[in-house]
Amino acid sequence: MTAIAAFKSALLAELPSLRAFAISLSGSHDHADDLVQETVMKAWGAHASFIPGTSLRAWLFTIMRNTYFSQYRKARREVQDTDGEAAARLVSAPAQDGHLDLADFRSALEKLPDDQREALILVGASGFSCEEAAEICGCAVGTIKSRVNRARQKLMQMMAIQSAAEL
Amino acid sequence: MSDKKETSERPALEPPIQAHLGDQLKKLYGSILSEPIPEKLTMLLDQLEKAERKEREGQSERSTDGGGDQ
Repeated sequence: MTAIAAFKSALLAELPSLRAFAISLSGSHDHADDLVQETVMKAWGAHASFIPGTSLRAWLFTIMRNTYFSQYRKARREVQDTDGEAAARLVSAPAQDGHLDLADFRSALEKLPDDQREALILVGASGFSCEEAAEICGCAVGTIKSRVNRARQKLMQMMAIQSAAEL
Repeated sequence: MSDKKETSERPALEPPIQAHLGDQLKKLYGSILSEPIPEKLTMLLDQLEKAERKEREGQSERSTDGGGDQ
């Protein structure tokens, strides 16, 4: 396999993760696909700066979150409400087991500040350690930890009223 | 409690609810992970690969016989 083909198939294998991070970061499928597309193009162009043996996923996530925070955040705010509502309607299914359903969780997640949501997703869902997340976000490990803690507390607060009524 | 270290600052979340939040997050993320990849993303990679191959071929042609017309 040539170097080009190898890099291409490695990127292909990371597309699901990139999409998952993009969608949970931006809260919108449409923006997410644009964001993935731009990340892939940047990564392709910057191929030479990837250090073999290091995590390709972490490298790609770094490119993506920097792109998101420099370009997409504004756009997200503009459509956030309508898009969030539409998404909530789409995934909303009645929770019969007395637990909070995914749509409630999703809208609570979207209300978190960007930096806290990002930290929570990286550590709580993408499977990165706090150290790796800190490197991706370009901040201190302690900052990641406190963002994750604050994110959890806020989610709890947002969902407390519902859970008190439902549980 | 007056001592506030980074680690002891962790709020006393009720464990079942905290676990539930973690599950919800993983469920949401997992559901996106299992979605099919949009064709435009895989096609983008095909295009990037094709463009790079062409560029490399063009470079090697130019370096050997100098008069390549496209």
